[in-house]
Amino acid sequence: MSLPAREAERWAQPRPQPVRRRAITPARAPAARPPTHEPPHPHRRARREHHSAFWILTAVVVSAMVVGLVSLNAMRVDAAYRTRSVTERVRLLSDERRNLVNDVARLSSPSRIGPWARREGFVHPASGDVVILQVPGSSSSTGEVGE
Amino acid sequence: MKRPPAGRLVALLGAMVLALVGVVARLVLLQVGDHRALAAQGLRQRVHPTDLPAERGAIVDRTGVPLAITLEARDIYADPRYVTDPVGEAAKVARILNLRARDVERRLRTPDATFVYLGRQVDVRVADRLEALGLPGIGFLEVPKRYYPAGALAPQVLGFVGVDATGLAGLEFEYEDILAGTPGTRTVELSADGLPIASGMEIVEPAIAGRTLVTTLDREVQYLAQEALRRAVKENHAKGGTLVVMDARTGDISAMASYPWFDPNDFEHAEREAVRNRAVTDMFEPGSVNKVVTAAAALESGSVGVREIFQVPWWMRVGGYTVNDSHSHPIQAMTLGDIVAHSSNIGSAMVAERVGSAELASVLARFGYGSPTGVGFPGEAGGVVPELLNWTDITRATVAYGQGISMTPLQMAAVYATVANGGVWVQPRLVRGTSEPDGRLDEAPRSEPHRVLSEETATMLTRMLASVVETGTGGAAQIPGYQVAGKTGTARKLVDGRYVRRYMASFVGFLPASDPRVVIVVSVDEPRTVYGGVAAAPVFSEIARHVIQRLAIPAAPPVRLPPFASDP
Repeated sequence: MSLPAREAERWAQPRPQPVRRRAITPARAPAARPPTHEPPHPHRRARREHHSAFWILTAVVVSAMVVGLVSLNAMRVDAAYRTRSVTERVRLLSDERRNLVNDVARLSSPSRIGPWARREGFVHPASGDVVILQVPGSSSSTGEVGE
Repeated sequence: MKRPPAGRLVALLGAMVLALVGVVARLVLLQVGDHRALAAQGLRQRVHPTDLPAERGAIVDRTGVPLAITLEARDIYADPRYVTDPVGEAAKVARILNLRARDVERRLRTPDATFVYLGRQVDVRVADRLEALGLPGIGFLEVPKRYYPAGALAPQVLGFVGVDATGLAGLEFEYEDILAGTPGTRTVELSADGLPIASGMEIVEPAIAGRTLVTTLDREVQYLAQEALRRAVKENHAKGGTLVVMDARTGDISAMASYPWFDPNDFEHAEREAVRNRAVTDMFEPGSVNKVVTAAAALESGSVGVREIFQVPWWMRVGGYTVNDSHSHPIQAMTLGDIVAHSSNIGSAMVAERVGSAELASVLARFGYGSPTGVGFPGEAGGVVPELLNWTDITRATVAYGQGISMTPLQMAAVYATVANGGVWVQPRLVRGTSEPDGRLDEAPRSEPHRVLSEETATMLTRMLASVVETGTGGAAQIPGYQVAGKTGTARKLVDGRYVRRYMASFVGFLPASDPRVVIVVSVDEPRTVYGGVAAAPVFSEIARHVIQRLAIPAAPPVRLPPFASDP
């Protein structure tokens, strides 16, 4: 049953009249009301069941949303921490790389190796000791320049 | 219960409405009227922007080896308010930072101070040792530090940077825009206690690192050339020396140095004289190395034939002045080749007289005398050439043998490179370009080569210069297996407008003579043996031998020598 139909049905029921409270007078005892043992109206029971289902559903949906939001937020925070950590790691690795590049440049520098080599007795080859060959096609030699 | 009078209720309602209106009005004021200022104030309280310094680009040699690099370092400071044991802490800090404990203690006791530096740009490893001690009141700041891994290698060319990482000299200064990069910013949201909120706002505008500057320098050639120069200066008891090694075809400078030099890692203690790149910023009177230009003017103008013979005395009067050769000799028959080979001042003056002042000045201008080469170095000098209107006979005579004008060693290298290139002037350069992160080279723009001399003139000049080394004053520049073309120079120095008995000895040459690959300029300042052929030519030879091996320059067939007066 759709909600508007149910509403219409509810409105069709006679409305309970508002009870008017009267001042209690001690002279007259209240009349005992006859006990009523009428079974609950089938529509009222169905409505109560509907209410329970609604509240359960609402609780489930809201809980799921809350849990979802909290989880999402937690994941976001976790990701932020991880990103920050990775960024820091990248920075450290970049620094380390620069240090290593610097170490290589410093250690391979001829101004460090040269004096050491001289102390150890190394000498540069004389010009006749190394023969540079002309590789065909690599460089043109113009030959003798005529007058 | 008695009902309150309606008047009171109305008054209460009115008061409440008034209060509500007041609240609403205030809210409107805050939310609408002042919302910008208040939002900005709130943002300022929460949001904290910090600068992200851009990493300074490296300077590398032509093979990609770093010559200047930026490393992380630490500034170490103290807040004297929190220092509990100044004596003990000063001793520990001084030991690690290699300072005097008394000085450190004085800084730690600075009254009314909250921040005093104990060390600047300290090596990270050293700072870590100090940090591990956990001394109270001692703090550390992350800062960049420029480091030159090869030490005193091409220091005048590279220059140096200040503590604020800004280039102060050399290429570091000239290419500041390229090397410095663009700083970024990081904006984070902070909690009340000043810590970043993990899920808060974080906007990072990354810094753009400076680009890597690729120079034309060759680290090995530079070192070997510097060593040869240093030895020559010591052996000749000279005041200093300058050298340039340049690719004859491209103008790429493989080495450039002036002795004495300095360590750019410790430039604060360098002498001012040692910081100047004399090859580019200092002018000197070239002396006899300039005779090649006189000969070029003679050949280009056609006013002197290569077989023409001059009768050259050892002295002569020009415009009321006496000029002479370096040695006395009887009147000699000399061709242009003889004059260049034996470096005759009188012969050069006679040739210049035949050429004429206008033609000589024109050739000087075509070679670039009086104008900077545009090598891309701060403070490059252009040299001094007298205005043609002011030329007299003595001006023409002295300019012919390289006195009365001035130029830089780099300009002289460009002149000889022009001869080596068959008469085409190529702009010298120190920077090839910048390298992209993927290693691709972005070539620097350069001016177009232009012809200065005809190819025939350049060829004849090469033969004359080869004769200088083979038969003339430059014998000490010879290299077995290679023909060298070059010229010696011995120029008197001008001090306070007067020539003094102090000399600049030079040798400029290229090799192999018939297929030139490299031009080398060597000048030795005030050597004990004044002649360029004695003080500078051997240095040229030593540097050239290293360059031949390093750049694998093959030998080439020799050129024929020019006609001499003694030829049959």
